[in-house]
Amino acid sequence: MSPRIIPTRKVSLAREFKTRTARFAAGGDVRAVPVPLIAPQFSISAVTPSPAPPAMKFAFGREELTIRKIGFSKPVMPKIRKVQIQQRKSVEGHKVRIESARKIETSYSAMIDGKPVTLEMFDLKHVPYPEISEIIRTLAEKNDVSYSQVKLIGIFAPIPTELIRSTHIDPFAGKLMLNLKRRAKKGKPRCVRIAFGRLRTNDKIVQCVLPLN
Amino acid sequence: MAEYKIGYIDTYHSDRNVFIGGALVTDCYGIPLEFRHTDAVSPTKLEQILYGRSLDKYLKADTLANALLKDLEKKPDLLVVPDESYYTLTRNYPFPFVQLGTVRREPLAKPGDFQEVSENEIHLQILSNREPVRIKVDRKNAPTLASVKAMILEIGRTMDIVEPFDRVRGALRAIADDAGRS
Repeated sequence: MSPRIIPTRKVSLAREFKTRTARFAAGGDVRAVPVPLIAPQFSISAVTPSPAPPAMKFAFGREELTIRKIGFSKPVMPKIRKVQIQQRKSVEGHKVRIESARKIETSYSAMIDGKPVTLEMFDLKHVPYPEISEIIRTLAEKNDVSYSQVKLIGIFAPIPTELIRSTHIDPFAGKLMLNLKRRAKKGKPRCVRIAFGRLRTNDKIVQCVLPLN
Repeated sequence: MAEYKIGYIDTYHSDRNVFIGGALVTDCYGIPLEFRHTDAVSPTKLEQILYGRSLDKYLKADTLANALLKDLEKKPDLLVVPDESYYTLTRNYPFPFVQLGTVRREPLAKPGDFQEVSENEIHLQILSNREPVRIKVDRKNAPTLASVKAMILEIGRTMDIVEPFDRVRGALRAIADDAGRS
């Protein structure tokens, strides 16, 4: 077996250089100063590997393997003992009563009886202009003023004329409050439309009755 | 023309967690015939936990509305309800339950015209130049929609059929405020 080749390393000599500072005297000569070089520290050595281990032969015997039966003894059953637990003689239960499931009482109230019926005015964008014009003309004729003197406030329906006790119009909210009687004197009330307008001259609110369509 | 009686039922839930139910029956001109309201019911914390999300529906329909409809002396021909939670009671009463509202849309051509929205909802034109009225019944009672429509068309010629709801709500609010003060 030939010895292995060991790789060598190149070591730079400049590694170990030391610098020195030289002082220059004014007008003095400059001299060369010898700088000793440190010898490189490396070596080459031969490494011999250890010899391979010798091969061994194993001989297998011809003896029969014997199987033995090992008997287990029956496990002893653990005895269960009844443990007496002292029970509480009475367990108190709390029944949660759902409050809202009880009978709810109702009562009659007359508070709505006197409340006025509130009607919202028609959205005038759904009313055709010829119809609006006709209504303004009717309001003007009824109040002996010119067409241009009337400003339409709104139209309300259906209004049972015979049942009206009083009306109140809220032009800003566009609502008409109707105080109605309980029953008409005779027959069935006739339901109509009522248009409200304002006279530009004196701000008086005027009205006219129109048939329901 | 038949003298129909129209019922309106609603529940007011105050900030102080007080529920009050009210039912108004009017004639076909909107004049009150009977107004009843329940006691103020205030569910406890335990009830709120036990009933969970179903508390609102249970209180409105099964408790308050049921008590009111049983106690009404003047039974309506038509009951207007604010939402679907009352539909569970329809089988117990002989009159139809209906939801009404105004539709923000262009009027239909003439009174009596309607547009079918679904099998149980229509938009009905009652008066000319007005927004149509939305009529919705329980899905199970969709076959009754035609008769309900005819009834509402007739009533709508003599009163604003949606308006009494505001009166019921206003009255319930006033009662709840009084109950809160006392």
